Amino acid sequence: MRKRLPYAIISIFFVALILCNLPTANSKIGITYVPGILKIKAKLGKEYVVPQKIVVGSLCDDPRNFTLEFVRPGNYMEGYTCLPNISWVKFTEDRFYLRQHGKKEVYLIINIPDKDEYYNKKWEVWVHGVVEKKPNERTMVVPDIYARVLIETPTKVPVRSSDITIPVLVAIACAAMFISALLYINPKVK
Amino acid sequence: MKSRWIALCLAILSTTLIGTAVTMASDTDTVSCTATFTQLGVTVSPSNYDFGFGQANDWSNTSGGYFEVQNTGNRDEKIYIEASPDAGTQWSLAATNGDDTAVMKALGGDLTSWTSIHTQQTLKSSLASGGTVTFDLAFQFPSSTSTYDPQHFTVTISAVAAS
Repeated sequence: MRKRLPYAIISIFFVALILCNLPTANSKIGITYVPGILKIKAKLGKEYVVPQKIVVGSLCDDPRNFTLEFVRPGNYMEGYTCLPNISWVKFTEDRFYLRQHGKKEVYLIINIPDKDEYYNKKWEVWVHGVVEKKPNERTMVVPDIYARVLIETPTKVPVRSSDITIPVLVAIACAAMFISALLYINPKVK
Repeated sequence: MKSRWIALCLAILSTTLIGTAVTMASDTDTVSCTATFTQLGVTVSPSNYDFGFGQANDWSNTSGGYFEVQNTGNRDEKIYIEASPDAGTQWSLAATNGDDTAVMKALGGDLTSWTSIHTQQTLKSSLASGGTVTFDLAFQFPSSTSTYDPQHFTVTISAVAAS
């Protein structure tokens, strides 16, 4: 009985090894991304999080890292041109680990400078969702997705108040309050 | 009495000015967005193939639609295919083989004849939701090699929402 034990352990080890390798050898690998098209009416001059949940899903039979990056579009929706600067958009998280068939929610962050030339524009940028290969992995065929983000800026350039307008208003208000207080306390002041 | 009226007027003026300043400085921007409910999704199975050993100029290929791509999204997708050497791989890919240069070709979907995929090719111009496309890969070894180590390549299957 004792002589058989090592053989049994070795047999179990090889069976386990084969079973462990089977999913990586012939496993399915895939990615989902929702929404495939996201249209945003953007504001300029401030960074904000777009209130639309973006869901990345794993269709892989094993846990993997996923990466999201912004790229220039391969083609454009009608009326749209390329976003001038890809650094204006980013994700709350752009690389994450998902268990098999797991999901991740991320959000888009936009920060477009407030310049006259950026008003009344329709821009497009693509999201490239990638299933990462594991280090030294022999996986040969890898899927990825490209989703569209459409950004529309305000049509009218706003009338801008100069930077000193608010301080001047506050200063005048303070002066008026001071004089009114003086007049109230001592009505005979001329 | 007159001074008190002036004081009252100045007080009202200062309140109005502060109110105006606060309104100008306030930040009540809202952002609207529209998400068209399109789910992009693509799977490939199997994800692996080993072309094995070969001699100079040898061809090795899969057959019978060995690889299957499925559109798991909810709208038509355009499917692209492209092969590239992994980091650290000494062989490159080109349309014809040469010294340390191999060839990778695909057949299936819109590729009705063996087509080199060292540059991006359209595997299927429109794959319906839930639809599948199968393809095979062929690999030609270089005419000569400076390495006898295993060489690794990645075939990328890209899904884009059909415009």
